[in-house]
Amino acid sequence: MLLKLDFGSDQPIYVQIRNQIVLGIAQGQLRPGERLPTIRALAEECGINMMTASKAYQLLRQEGYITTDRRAGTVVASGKTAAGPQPETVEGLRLRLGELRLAGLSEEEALDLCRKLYEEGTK
Amino acid sequence: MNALIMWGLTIWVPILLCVLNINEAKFKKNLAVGVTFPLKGRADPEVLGLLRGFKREQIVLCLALVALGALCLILCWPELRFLPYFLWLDLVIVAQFVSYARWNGKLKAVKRAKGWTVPTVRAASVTVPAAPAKRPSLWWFIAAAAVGLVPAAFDRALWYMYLLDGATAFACYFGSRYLYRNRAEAVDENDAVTQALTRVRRRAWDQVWVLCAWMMAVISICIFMSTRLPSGGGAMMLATVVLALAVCAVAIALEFRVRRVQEKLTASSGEGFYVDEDDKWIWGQIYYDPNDSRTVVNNRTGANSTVNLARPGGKALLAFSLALLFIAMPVMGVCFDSMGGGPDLVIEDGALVAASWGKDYVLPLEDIASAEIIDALPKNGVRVMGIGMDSFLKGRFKFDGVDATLCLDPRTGPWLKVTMADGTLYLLGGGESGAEAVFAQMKG
Repeated sequence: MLLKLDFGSDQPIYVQIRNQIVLGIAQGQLRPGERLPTIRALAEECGINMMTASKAYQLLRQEGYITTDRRAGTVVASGKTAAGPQPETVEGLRLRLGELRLAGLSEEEALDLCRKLYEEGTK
Repeated sequence: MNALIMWGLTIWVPILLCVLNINEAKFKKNLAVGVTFPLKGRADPEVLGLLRGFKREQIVLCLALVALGALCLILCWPELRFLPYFLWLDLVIVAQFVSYARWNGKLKAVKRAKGWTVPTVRAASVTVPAAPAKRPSLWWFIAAAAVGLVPAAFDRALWYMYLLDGATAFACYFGSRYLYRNRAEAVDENDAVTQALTRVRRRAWDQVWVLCAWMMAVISICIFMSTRLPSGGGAMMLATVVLALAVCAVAIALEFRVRRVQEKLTASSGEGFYVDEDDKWIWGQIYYDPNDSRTVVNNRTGANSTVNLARPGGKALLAFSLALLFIAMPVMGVCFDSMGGGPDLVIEDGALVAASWGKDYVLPLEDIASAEIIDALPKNGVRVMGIGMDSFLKGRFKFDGVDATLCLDPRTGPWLKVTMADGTLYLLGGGESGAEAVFAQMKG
């Protein structure tokens, strides 16, 4: 799986890494139990500071997407995240749905779009 | 003779650079002459025409530079044996760099005009760095260093040479680890291709460093043998040169093997998402990315490394290389050319001093057992260690198995033959060194 980092973006790099790894897990590019690079290797790969890589992993760990084991290293967590959707995720979804409504999409059209995007992650 | 050696040592440089540049015109990792193209761009007539023009120019440039090099040899001025070659070498590097940059600019312009420029993102693989990489064991380098150090136990006189060889062999381990950026060779989203490209490059890189380590070990043995064999010193020195050339040949062969694999594996890449970092490579050759925290980065094609000019370390390394090429090399040429004419021989503070560059040899008069003036140098001389120029010999030599330390102009005598109380033999003077006057002073 490739991370595509945009250094010109307003979004911090650690958030970009976090988002793309979450998307990778959701779309099946990263499978449960799959090993992720160490913080040092990820920093070397992306050409970023180790603190930035560490911050991204810390966030993913807190949200339950990855686990760190002394023997296995950092791996993709198995199954659903225990905590369920984060409040920020629900808020974000609310905002995006509002934007779709303002863009002129009907409820049916918005749900169709959501269904399509959701299915991309279950293929 | 010196000019011929210089010619032999340098004439292959424009040819090698030409072959490497022509190879750059073949698409590998979606790149040609440092410009990234989508798959459809590779069949574009305008792009292909430019690539043909680039190749033609490389051949013409190479022929012109080789002819100029040959002219240096033909015109080899008696006082200028080195400087013309060093200046010519600088010209070779600049000419090929400028030519590459020019065609890189032309290809980039076509790319822009055709709308093939894509937004720049840094692509970083998550899956490939997670897989453990097999690297050569430290023991390969320790063993090479140990072999290189063995002669020091038998030949104390040249211990520093063996130590240098052993230390260099060991330092190759650090070269293999830290002069290589451990980054996946991502071209597109195909993980299998990324993995294969990364493995091939890393393997070639490690092989070159292991080879270099063992070359240093064998060179150390060669030096030792050259001091031991009565008349085999020359052969051993030749063996050292042949060995160094063989390692260079293997390194070049590995570079081309990596390029061939890159070409083959990415033959169908360039559709959908593909990595395009053109705006981070100035003239397609100099990496500049302030957002990249690494100083040492991998070249885009082949197996070599380069530096990130946006980092202070990168700037320092580039400045050092430029200073070496454009200041140190010509200065070295002037210095080598000014050598000759023999050393100045003087009696100073109760010692015989032979001075060419600084005080080369200081022989206390009380330690000198005998001295005589000779009009002919001994025959069958073989250099063990030191400088062997047409007009200047300095260092350790062997004459029919007899050790002697030389600091002289071999073209015209007379020379001063000095035997020390411990049996060490010195041959000094020649040319305008004033050997006879010093000898008279010593007798008086």
